[in-house]
Amino acid sequence: MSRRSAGPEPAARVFRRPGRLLWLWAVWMLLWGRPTPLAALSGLLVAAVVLAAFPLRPVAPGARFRPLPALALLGHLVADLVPSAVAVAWQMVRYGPRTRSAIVAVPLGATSEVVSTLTANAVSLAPGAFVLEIDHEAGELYVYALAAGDEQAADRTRATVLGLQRRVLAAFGAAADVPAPGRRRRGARAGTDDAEVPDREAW
Amino acid sequence: MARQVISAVLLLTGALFCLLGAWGLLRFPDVPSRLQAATKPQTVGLVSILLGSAVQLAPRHAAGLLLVALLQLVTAPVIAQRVGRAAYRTGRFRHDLLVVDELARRRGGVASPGQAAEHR
Repeated sequence: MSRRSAGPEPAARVFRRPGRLLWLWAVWMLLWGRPTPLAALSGLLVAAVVLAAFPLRPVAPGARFRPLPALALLGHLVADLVPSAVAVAWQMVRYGPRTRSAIVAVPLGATSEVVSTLTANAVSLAPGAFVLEIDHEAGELYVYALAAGDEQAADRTRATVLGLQRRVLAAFGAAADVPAPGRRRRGARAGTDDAEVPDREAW
Repeated sequence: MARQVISAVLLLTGALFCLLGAWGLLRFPDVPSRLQAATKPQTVGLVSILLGSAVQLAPRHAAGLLLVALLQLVTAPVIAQRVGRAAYRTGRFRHDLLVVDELARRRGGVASPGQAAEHR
């Protein structure tokens, strides 16, 4: 299932990405809860072994991490959590066993795997929706959303997903993917559906 | 005192959301909608309870709880996707409750087992 691509040697992999090493070490320290020298040392060792033993697939070239938009994305997701839970709870109380739903295809355009994966993860925190199927080749997400028998819900879902993708692109996309104000995002597929996506104009 | 109040509010809110999540499991009609109940209200409930407990603890222990919350936020969507996908492929969806199904269109009418029976 998990294809292992032939990356650099295990040892090289460990030190190529110091950020990952640092993050794993920080998690280890948090788990111990008390900063003893032994915990610090063993943490480094465990982090190195984990990185060497479980290679991640290489990140697409050009993908960059921008801290500020990433923070904005995180804030947006956290702020979305409670309304999202309330929305699901409301659907449950109001419609219960008669809840209707929809599976909507959302074309992401040509984006990297990192962006589509993060978008998928972000979508699943949006109200009443989660990603059912990710088609990396076609660059499409199939999103399941609670719709309550509302025909417009499909369009709203598409708009939500594309809005989230824009935020993910701003934080993690390659330079060419980041929409400059007033410029159309590269690779955006226009008119896949007759659906009028309100967010499109903003691009 | 203020700390007690914050903690009580967070714990009770968390409990309420967990209850809503559990009720949703009973009330929703099929696997994907139940997944919604199991991920969203449940996650908010858990995070709220963790925060409520963290307020009472020394910072170094509280940090561990925040880590639990973070891992929950990262893993819940992944689990929902895997379980939802498996449910779709094995026909555990109430297709009569779907307003639109654009995934079926892509699969070109290759019905998943059980789909034909339910679709009629």
